Parts: sequence; C-alpha cells; structure tokens
Amino acid sequence: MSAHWLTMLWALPAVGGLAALAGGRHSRWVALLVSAGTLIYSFSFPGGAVISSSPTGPFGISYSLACDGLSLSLCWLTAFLTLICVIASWKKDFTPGYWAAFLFLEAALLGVFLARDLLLFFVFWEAVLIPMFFIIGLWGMEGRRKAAMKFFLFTFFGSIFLLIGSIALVTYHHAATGIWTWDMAVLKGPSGRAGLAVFAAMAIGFAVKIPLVPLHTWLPDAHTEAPAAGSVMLAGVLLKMGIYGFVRILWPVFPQLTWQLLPWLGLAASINVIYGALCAMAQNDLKRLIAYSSVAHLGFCLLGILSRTPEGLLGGSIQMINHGLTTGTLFLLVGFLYDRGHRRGLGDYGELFRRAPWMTFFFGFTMLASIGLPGLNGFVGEFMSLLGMARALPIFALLGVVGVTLAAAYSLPAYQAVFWDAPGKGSVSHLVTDLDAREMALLSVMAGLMLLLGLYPGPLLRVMQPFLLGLVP
Amino acid sequence: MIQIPLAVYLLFLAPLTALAFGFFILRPWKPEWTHIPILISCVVVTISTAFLAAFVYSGHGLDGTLFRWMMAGDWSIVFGVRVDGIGVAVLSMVSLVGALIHFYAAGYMKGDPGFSRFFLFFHLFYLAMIGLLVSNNYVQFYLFWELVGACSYFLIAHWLHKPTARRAALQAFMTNRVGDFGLMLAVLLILARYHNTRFAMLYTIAPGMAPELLALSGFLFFWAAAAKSAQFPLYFWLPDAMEGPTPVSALMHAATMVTAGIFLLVRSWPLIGSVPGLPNFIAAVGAATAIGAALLACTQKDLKRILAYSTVSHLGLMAFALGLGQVAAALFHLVVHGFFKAALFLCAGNVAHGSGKPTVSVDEAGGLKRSLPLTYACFAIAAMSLAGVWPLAGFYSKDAILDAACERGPWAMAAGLAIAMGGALYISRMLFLTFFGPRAEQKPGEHVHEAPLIMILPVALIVVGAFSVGWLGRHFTHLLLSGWPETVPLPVLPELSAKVSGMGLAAMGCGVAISYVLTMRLPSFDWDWRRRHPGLEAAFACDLGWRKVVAWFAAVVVRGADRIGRVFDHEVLDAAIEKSADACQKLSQTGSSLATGSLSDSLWWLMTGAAALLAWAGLR
Amino acid sequence: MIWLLRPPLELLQPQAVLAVGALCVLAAGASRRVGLGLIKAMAGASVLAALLMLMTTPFWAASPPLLSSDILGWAFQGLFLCAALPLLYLMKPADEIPPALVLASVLGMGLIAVSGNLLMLFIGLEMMSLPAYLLVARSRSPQALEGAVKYFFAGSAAGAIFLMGMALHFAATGALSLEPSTDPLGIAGAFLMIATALFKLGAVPLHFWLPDVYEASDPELTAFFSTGLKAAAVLFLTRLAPLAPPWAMAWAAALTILFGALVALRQKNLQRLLAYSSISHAGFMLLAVAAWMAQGRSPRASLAVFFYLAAYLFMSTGTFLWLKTEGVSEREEMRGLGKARPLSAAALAVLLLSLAGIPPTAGFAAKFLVFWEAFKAGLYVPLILAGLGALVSLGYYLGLIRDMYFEEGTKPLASAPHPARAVVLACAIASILLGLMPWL
Repeated sequence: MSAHWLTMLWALPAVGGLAALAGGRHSRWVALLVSAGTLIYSFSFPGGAVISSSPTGPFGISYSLACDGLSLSLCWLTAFLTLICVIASWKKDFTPGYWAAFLFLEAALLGVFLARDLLLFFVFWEAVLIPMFFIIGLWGMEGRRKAAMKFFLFTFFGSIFLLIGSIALVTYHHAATGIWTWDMAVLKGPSGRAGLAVFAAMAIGFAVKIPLVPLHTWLPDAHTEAPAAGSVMLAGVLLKMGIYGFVRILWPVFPQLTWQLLPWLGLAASINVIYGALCAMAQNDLKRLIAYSSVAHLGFCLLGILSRTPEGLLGGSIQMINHGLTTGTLFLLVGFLYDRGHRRGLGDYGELFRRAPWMTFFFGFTMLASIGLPGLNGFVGEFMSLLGMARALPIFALLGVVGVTLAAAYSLPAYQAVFWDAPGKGSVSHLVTDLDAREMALLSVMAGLMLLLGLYPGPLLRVMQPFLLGLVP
Repeated sequence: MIQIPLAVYLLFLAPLTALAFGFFILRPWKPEWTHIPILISCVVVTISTAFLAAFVYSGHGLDGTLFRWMMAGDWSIVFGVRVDGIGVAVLSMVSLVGALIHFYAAGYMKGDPGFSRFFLFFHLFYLAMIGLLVSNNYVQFYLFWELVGACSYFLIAHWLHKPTARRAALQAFMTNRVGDFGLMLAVLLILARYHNTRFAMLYTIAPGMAPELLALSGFLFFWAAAAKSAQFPLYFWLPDAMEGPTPVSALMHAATMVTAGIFLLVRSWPLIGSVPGLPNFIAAVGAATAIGAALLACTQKDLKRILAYSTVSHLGLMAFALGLGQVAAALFHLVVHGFFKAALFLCAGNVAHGSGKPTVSVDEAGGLKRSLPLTYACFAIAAMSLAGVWPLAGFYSKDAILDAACERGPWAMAAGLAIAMGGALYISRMLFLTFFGPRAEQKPGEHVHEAPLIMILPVALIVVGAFSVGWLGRHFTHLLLSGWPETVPLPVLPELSAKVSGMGLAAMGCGVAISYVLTMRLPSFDWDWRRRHPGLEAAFACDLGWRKVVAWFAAVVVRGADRIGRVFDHEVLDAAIEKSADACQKLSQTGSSLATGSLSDSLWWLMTGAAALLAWAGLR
Repeated sequence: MIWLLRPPLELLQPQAVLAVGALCVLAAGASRRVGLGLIKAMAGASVLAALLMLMTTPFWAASPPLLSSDILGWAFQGLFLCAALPLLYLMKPADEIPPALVLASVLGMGLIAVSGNLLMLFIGLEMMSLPAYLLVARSRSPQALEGAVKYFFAGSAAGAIFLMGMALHFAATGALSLEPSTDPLGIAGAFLMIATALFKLGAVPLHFWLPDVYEASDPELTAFFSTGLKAAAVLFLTRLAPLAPPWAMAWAAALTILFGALVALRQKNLQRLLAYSSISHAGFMLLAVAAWMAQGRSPRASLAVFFYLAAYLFMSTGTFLWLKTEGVSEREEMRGLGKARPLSAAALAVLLLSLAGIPPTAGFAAKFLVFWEAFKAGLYVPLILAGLGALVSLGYYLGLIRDMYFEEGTKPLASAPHPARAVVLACAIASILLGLMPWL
C-alpha cells in the first residue's frame, strides 16, 4: 500500500469538514457523502498491518501511520458512528459548523487510531478536543457551557501528563539506546523508579480518557449536556481512546511494569465496574445514567486487557467496539425521545409502550445488549474479558461478575419507568410519537449488527487477533 | 465431521423460521395470525423430539459442534449440540407439554391486545428452553439460561398496565440475575482452568479435576439453581410471577424454566456429585424448601399462588432426590411434575377464563364442579397424580424418591413422608375449596362457563400424560443411561418396595383426610383461622418473615447506590475538581489586587525584587 | 555579500541602515513638506532594507571587545525587524517622531544582538528602552501618559540597577566582559544584572509595570512590545547567560508562568488580560532559556528558544491587532462574536488556541520544544509546574472562545473593513502552518 493511502483516510474527513463549512445550505449533504465515503474507504484496507511513514526528522519525529487489526476495527467504528450521527441529525436545522465539526472530529479520531509516531498521536489526541468542545458548547443542552469547559480542561490536565511522560520516555530511550525516536513500536520504557514515574504520567493521561475513577467526573456532565449525536461520538469513540492508548502504547512500552502493577490496575478497573453501576442506579436523568453505565462497561474492557491473556485482550478489544455500538444506539434513542418530549428525566415519561411501540422495542433490545444478555454483542466482550481476568487474578473476575449482576439493577428499572410505568404528574408522554422511517432504518441496522456480533463475532475477532496475540508473552 | 440428523436442525430452524415470519411479516400486518406458524413449529419440534428420543433410546447419542462462537488464538467456545439421555428425557416433556400449552394459549389469549407479542416471546422462550436442553457446553448453556430469564421477564409483565405485574417481572429478573452470578462465575473458573466447558470433555476428566474448584463450582451451581428453580433463599420471585398470564405460569413456572436449575445440577452431577458435603447440603435445602413451601401453600388464597408454592415444594423435592444421589428419581419426578403441574395450572386458567378474570382466589370459587365439569375432571386427575395416588404417574415418581429417602435414614424418611403428606394436603384443599361447596364465604362468579375446546383438549392430553407417564419408568432409566459417564454412579430408578409404597400412600391418605376435615367437615375453617389469628395470617403472607428480609436487603443496596451516586460522586469527587477551579479564581483575585497601579508601589517592588535576588546570591 | 561597512564593523550593517533611515525620517518630518504616509513608508522601507542587510551579514563574527554575534543573535535580529513592521504599518502618528522612535528602538535591540561585553549591552538596553517610553506617551489613550511615566521610572531604575551590577562585576573581575566570576561581589553584580533582564522580560517578581503599560498603550504598540521588546529581553538574558544559574531561572520561570496565568483569569479588560498572558508566556521563554543554559547552550535548545519567540511573534501580533480591528476592549464585548463575525472570530479562535498550546498549532510546537529541552536539562519540577500553568491559562483562552461562541451578543458592532484584518488572518494561518514544524 502506498504511503499516501492511509493519510487519505483521515484527510478525507478533514477536507470534507472544510468543504462543509463552505457548503452553506448543502453542508449536510457534504457531511453525508464524506462520512459514507470514509466508511467505504476504510473497508478497503486489508486486515493485515499497513504502515506508511515519512523519513525521520532531526528530532526522531516522523509522520508515520500504521493500521493493523485493532486500529482498523476502531476506524470502522469511528467511520460508522459518524455516518450514523449524520443521518440521525438529518432533520434538524443545524448550521454548517455542526456538520463540519463532526467531520473534523472524525478526522482527528481516525488520526489517533492510525498514528504510529508518538508525537503525531498526541497531536491528534489533543486535536479531538477542539471539535468536541464546540459540539458540546454550541449545540448542547442547558448546562453546555460549563460542561464543555470542564471537558476540555479536565482532559487537558491528563494530556499535560501524557505529554511530559512521552517526552520523558523518548529521552530515557535515547539515554539507553542512543537513538532519538518517537516510533511507538520501537520505544521501550526505562526501568526502576524512573520507569514508574513515566508510566504514572502517561497512565494519568490515558486514565482521564478511559475514564478511570476518580478521574471520571467530567464524563457525566459532558455526556448529559452534549447533543444526542455528540453523546454518541463521545461515548462511542472518544472513550475508547484511553483504552487504545493503554493497549497500543503503554503496554508494549512497559511490559514488565504493566504486569507488576496488575493488582492495582485491576482493582481500579473493578472499582470502575462496580462504582459506575452503583452511580447509575442512583440517577434520574437518562443520559447521566447511560454515562455512568459507560464507566462500568469500560471497566470491563480494562479488566480484559490487563489480564495479559489472548481471550482477555480480544475480549477487551471487542468490548470496545461492542460498547461503542450499544451505547451509541442508546444515546441515539434517548436523542430521539428528547426530540419529541424535550425532557430526559425518568419520571417525565411513562407508558410509552402505548404510543411508541417500536421505540419501546428498540430500547428494550439495546438495553438487553447493554446488560450483557448472551446472544447479543455485549455478552461477548464482557465474557471474554472476565475470562481473561479469571485466568490472571480471579478475585477481579468475581468483582466483574458482581458488576454484570448490577447492570440489570440500573437498566431495567429505568426502562420500566420510561416505557412501562404509569405516567406521573407533569409527564410529557403525550408528546411522544413513534419512530419515523429514517430512525427505524438506523436502529434496525444497529440492532442487526448487535445480533450479528453477538452470535457470530468470529470475523471481527480474527481481524483483531494478529496484533493482540503478539502482545501476549 | 459427525452426522447431525435433520431432527436436530429442525429443533432450531422451525422455531426460528416461525419467529422470523411472525415478527417481520405477520406482526406488522396481521398480528392475529401470529400463532399459526408458531403452532406449526411446535408440532414440528415435537415430532423431531420424538424422533430424537427414539434415536437415543436405540442406543445412539450425539455431541457435535455447529459453529464456533467466540475464539481467541487457538481457544474457542463453540455452539454445539448434545443429544443424550438426560437431555432427551426432559426435552420430550418440554416439547410436548410446551406444544400443548401453545395450543391452549391460542384460546386463552384470544382477544388480548398483545396477542402477537405474547406468542413471539412465548415461542422464543420455547426455543431457548430447547436450546438449553441440547447445549453441549456450559457457555452455550448459560446463553440459553439467560435468554430464558429474559423471556420470562417480558412474559410476566405481559399485561404492562398492571403495576404488580411489572414489579413481579423486575423481581423475577433481578433474583435470577443474582443467581446467574453463581453460574457465570463457576463457568469462568472452569473455563479458565480447563480451557473448555464441553460436557463431554468435562465428564471424562471429572475424576481428576481439582477438588477445590469442583467444590466451589458445585456451590455456585447450586446458588444459580436456587434462583432459577426457586429454592430457599431465592424462591420468592416465583409466587409473585403468577402475575403473568396462565400459559406463562404453566409453561415457564411449572414445567420448564424452573426445572432448568435442577437440570443444571443433573447435567453437572458427574462433576459435583462427589464433592463431600454438597449432596447432603442440597438434600437438606431441598427438603426444607419442600416442607416450608408445602406449609405456605396450605395458607394461600389465590389459586395460582397455591400452585406456585406447590411448584416450589416439588422443586425442593427434586433437589432432595438429587441430594440423596438419585439422579434418575429427580429427573423422573421432573418430567412427571411437568405434566401434572401444567395440567393443574391450565385448569386454574380455565377457572379464571370461565370467570372472566385474570386469576381467581378461593373466595371467588366454590362449587365449580357443576359449571366446569371437564375442568374438574382434569383437575381431579392431575391432583391425584400430584398427591401420589396409585397408579397415577405421581405415585411412581414420588415413591422412587421415598425409597431413596428411606434407604438413607430416619431423618430423610421423615422429611420425605412430610413432603408427601403436605403435598396431598394442599392439593386436596385446593380441590375441595374450588370445586366443592360453595361455602358461605365464597362468592363464585355468576356465569362461569366451561372453556372452549381449544383450551380443554390440550389439558386433557396433558392429563393423559399425568396419568400414564409413570408406567414408563423402566424405559426412562434405559433412556437416561445413554451419554452418562461410566465413572459416576449410573442413574437408575430404584425398584418399588411395598413397605415404602405403603408408607407413602398412608402419608398421602393422612394429608387428604386432614384437608377433607378442614374444608368439607369444617367448611369455614379456612376463613375462621384468619379472622382469629390475623398475626398468623400476616406471618404467612410474608413467608414467615423471609420476604421482609429480602426487601430490607434490596432497600440497603438501593440506598447505598443512591448515597454513592448522588452524594459521594457529586459532593466529594466532583467537588474536588470544582474547588480547585475556585482556588484558582481566588488566587487570581489575590494576584490582581497586588497590582495597585501606583508608581511608588512599583518602585518598591523593583527594589524588593532586586534585594531578594541579591540576598539569594549572598546565601549561595 | 554587500559590504556597507568594512570589517570589523560589518556586524553593525543593519543597525547602520536603521540609523540612516531614522535620520532621513526625522529630516523629512522636519521639512514639513513630506506627508505622514510617506514618512511611514520611509520607515518601513528602512526596516525592509535592514532585513535585506541582515541576510548578507555573517552569523559568526567577533570584534572584541565590543561586538560579537552568534546565530541566535542573528536570528533574533530578524525577529526584531519583523516585529517592527506591523507597528509601522498600522500606527497613526501625529508627526514624524514615532516612526523614528520605532527605528531607534529596533536599532537598540540590534545592538544587544551584536554586543560583546557589558557596556555594549547597556547601550543597547537604554537605546531600546528610551524610545519605548516615549512611544507609550505618544499613544492615543488617556492613560498613556500615566503609563509612560510609570514605565520610565521603573525602567530607569532598572537601568540604574544594571549599572550598579556592572560596577560590582567590574570591581570583582576588573573587566566589563561577560565572564563569570566567583567573587561574592561579582556574583552579587551578576544577580543585579539578571534582575534587570528579568525586569525587561516581565518575569515575576519584577513584572508589575507590564500590565499597566500594556493596558495603556495602543494595541499595535503593545503588539510590538510583547513581541519585539520581549525578544530583546530574552536575547539580553542569553547574553548574560554565563553569569546566571539555570535552576534559579527555571524556578523563576515556573513562578512566572503560574502567576501570569492565574491573575489573567479574572481580568475584564482584554489588553490587561493579554498583558498577564504575555507574562505567562515570558515564563515559558525563561524556562527555555534556563534549559538552554543548563544544557550548555546546545543548538537544539537554541532552536527551542528561537522558535518560541518566532511563534509568539505571530500569535501575539495577531491577537493584539485583532483587538484593534474589532475595536473591542472589554471582555463583555466579546460575547456573540462567533455568530456576528464568523471569519474574524475563527481567526481569533485559532490564535487563542495557539497561545494556549493546543495542537496542531504553532503554540503547541513551541511549548513542546520548550518542554522537551527542559526535561533534557533535568528541570523536572519546574516543567510540571509549567504544564499546570498551561492548564490554568487554558481557562481564560477557552473562556474567551466560549464567550465568543456560546454566549449571545448584546450590542451590535459596527464593522468597517480594516487593513489589519489581512494581517490578523495571515498570523492565524501562520500559527497553524508553523505547527507542522516538528515534522519538517
């Protein structure tokens, strides 16, 4: 594959974004075409590793991209969810900036997953924040201004540590080997106290994004105040950046240290699972509930990845894709509901099964996928992750299973409150109509994918295998 | 590549096709016809099952892979099929009784606005139960186990407008989820250690498996079974689950889904049967549950609730049998119970349907022998089967268990006899109170009419089974032996002994006699003791306090979650962030107040700054 | 090579051009027959000519004891001249004096660049500062005189301190050269001279004059101060490098970054806010210099220092000129600009993000290089504090963007096309393009 083809993958949405800005009334068509094009283009890459890089500059920095199974699956997820977001936002009257922002966001995200040079990775990592900031701040809900600032500042805090850690890593590597390089595949971390410090710095940067309790408090606000499509991208893709950073960078660079710190990191991941579930149980706002459930789900991803076993690694990775799909659909549904009723509280609706049976069905289906009903996609990732952890440190697998049990405790009552229970005073159920054809088509595709990935995840697992199995000692 | 007979494929394909057809084509356009492809599928499945039963009976067996489900490297979890004795034995009952209940439901649910949705979930459940019985590894088993639970959730809450139904569904699902914790953890541990959960493989290595792992798995399996098969302490969801329509109660909560737990234990018996202390533990819990539930069944008013507690009691009896080491007896009772309990439930459904209500309590029944003669006949036969009257099926299955109990020792024997007596007591109470009388306190409906043919015929056919299945004991044992590993004691039904049978019949007679006295000779007894001892009634209503304990526990969890989610997260963690932002603002305020703008201040700053640097220089 | 002056004075070629230009400007003005536009054009032409001259001047040369230059000084001279251009283009002087003052100030900066010993350094310092005081006084705003007086007094005091330090150094070493001395007298002298350098840079605790002066001047003049004068101060400090301990510089840098960022948070006046922000950026420059010193003046570190100032030239000029073109001075007036003037708001957003150091802008590349050098130099804790300072500064940069886009505008702004718009746009684009620097 020639060197420029990978660049095209992220450049296409970036240029598309500029075109959308200039597009005026037609900007949403531009967005549709570009996002569809990017999705199709991303499928044209073979599953194997593709590398494209420019010659190394004087500092050891080069412009290099790499695309193996893990990156490719995440690129598919990004491109797919962007297209879904564009279609989902179709009917609303947004300024060209909205469509452009999503395309820029897609470009930055693709860059993160494709980058192989550490500095390039960091540039894209930060660049993701800018369009997301505008998406939350310009088109979000009532508390959007504060949520956007909090999101940016909090993530930037983590990124400072990531930057300093990366610089430290490269400098120590030079001290050890005499070579200046920023290539992720080559870098190896120092050992001893210095290694711990560098690991901690970079881990903080990734931990804010995962998000790992207690660095998670930006997430509920950001998810709640973002517009529906923004939440889809936020939960669907942005949260994966942290775990991706862990697998792609932190682990290969610090193999010994990751293993030694397993008890602590595993504990943190387990806390995520249980704490996220408990917090979700207490929420009255649908979006906040789903946001906390994301904290729990990503705890499972991390548990799988930390286990250093093939099934754990694959489980955690496929859980990333599955969670993106499932939670993205949940946010879409909440968005559709909000479009009609303009409220998000659990007590604001009731007995929607009468007026909106299809919405009830899709919501129930997605909810079952989210709590990990076997046969749907949520189970595959969770089960394999817990299996990996059961082989590594069974106590954390036990905590994970507790989390699986708790998942039903926050999902089902919420579902019942909105769709089954009798409406209370001040309910806006009468404003809710059932889904229209476009929304049904979108949700059918998502539901079909959930079922397919639940029963037949084989092809996707095979795509991700080569890189991940290479990580296992 | 193993040859998989067509029957196996049909087991899955027929329901899948019917469901797809029903969901995509019939439900949007002609929902009232949804049951037609489903009923056809039921027939196909039943015929396939018969074929498979013959297949296994003639000495064949099957354990093969259909496709790979999850994989990582060279390890994989497969989707496979295992057709062996114990599976086919239960499958025959499930498919036949299930098919008949489908036909019943076509009549019972007619006119219900959710007719289409009901049948789709009902048949999905049927498919899931079948899948559970023919799974060839634990993970696949877990898939169908959970799917069955999910279908139960939606079916219990079928009448969405009823708050009690919704609450019952949530309770059922959550309790099952708590039990599933055990199953999932056990499966993970076994899988982690042995890389494979295929039954065939595990049976072969069972004698050599790590004893701690087996012990832990055993207890975890029992925990899961306790939730699914309603043993103490996780049984309480079952009586409440009667909020669902009668076909649901009949199929799921009597004949099939609740037996899944027992089936799990039987399936795992080659592994966990030799764990020291576990069988005794299971027997003890089973016996206690059986006796306690029988007692509570005697105090219930709602017809379906009586039958629900009866189911709990019989499940306890099955567990008791299993704990005594009698795999065959437990399974035999499972199959027989499926027939007579389903029949009893359907009869109760006929009573309700005839009265025009979703469910009927003894207050609204009485003297229905005259208005519902066919239902009465079916009920009476099924009740006799439950009580253990010779030569009905229930006699044989109960006797097998009593035999094993008597062999074990005096405590077991006493427990067995108590269960027998209790069973006879509550079912004859139900029979007498409902169909005889009416008594002064009872107000039966005005125009209680007999059920239509489509509802009577399936009941009658099931009753035939409840009558006669007991005679198949020998064949049953022969069937069970297929696929059972040699390393574990073989499942064989014990021979009947006159002494034990006599004792059993005597216990039954006692029970019937007591209830005859308390319902026919003292017609108002059932109401009198409630009036005289309201505290006692309240105690029975909350299952002698256990329901209160569970409610307290749930409240603690919910409040704890609330405390964490609302208070801790917001006020502690988030506040830390907010406070740092405030601190920055305060520092900013202080800093800008330093800039006063006056010239002399500026010069002072300059001098001080320079002096400071000078001092620093001096110090070095 | 065009030789205007023979060696060893060829280092002074650009300065000579500027001197000639200044004299011509004064003469033209005195004749009262030349229009102000032409005068400005003459001044601009002399700056361009000086730039041309600079291209032909050798990097390395020495003409002891007074003159000595290195590549850093050469590059910085380019910065000074470029910083003067926007000011000359946009200033609206009442007569011919201000353009001449600008030329004189740049001349002084150039002298610092080629200075070889303390005396030359002092001459350059004063040559650079005195016109600056006068330029402030000549600004249009009412507080201008007040600001000018404060600046003059403080600056003169700083100059006096430098002389004192020079005297102590002479007493210790017996020469006015830039050699360090271990004599306590010499060390004291060194510290006094460093103090002056820090004063000119606007580092804490010698920063107090900066917000008042920046607030009082016109935006284009402030742009010149924040870019040209600051660059000169940085160069001044590097010349004093042998006398200064790096770790002290680093700690002062961390303090400056944090202080500037924190105080900027609550400023309502935009120029004052940008003044504190430039204090914060001065801290980064100081950190860069400290790293440069600690690594023994490695070329990579020099690149970091230079690049930071070059990037800052574009960012700061663009921002201050934006203030001029939009005519806003208070933070409240920024509300709703995102919708009212999309292109202009976008340009400012790019500039602010660059100031904050968000990739993929020049500001990020600059900070990145500084951080890297600081780490290589072993200045770990100041580095972390610098990072946190960047976080705090993000609070107000993002806050400004938030005000522009997420808030509703209150008063309608009359907009007339302004020649500076193009400059602002160019600066914004440069901010992004320069961000690609690490890969080039």
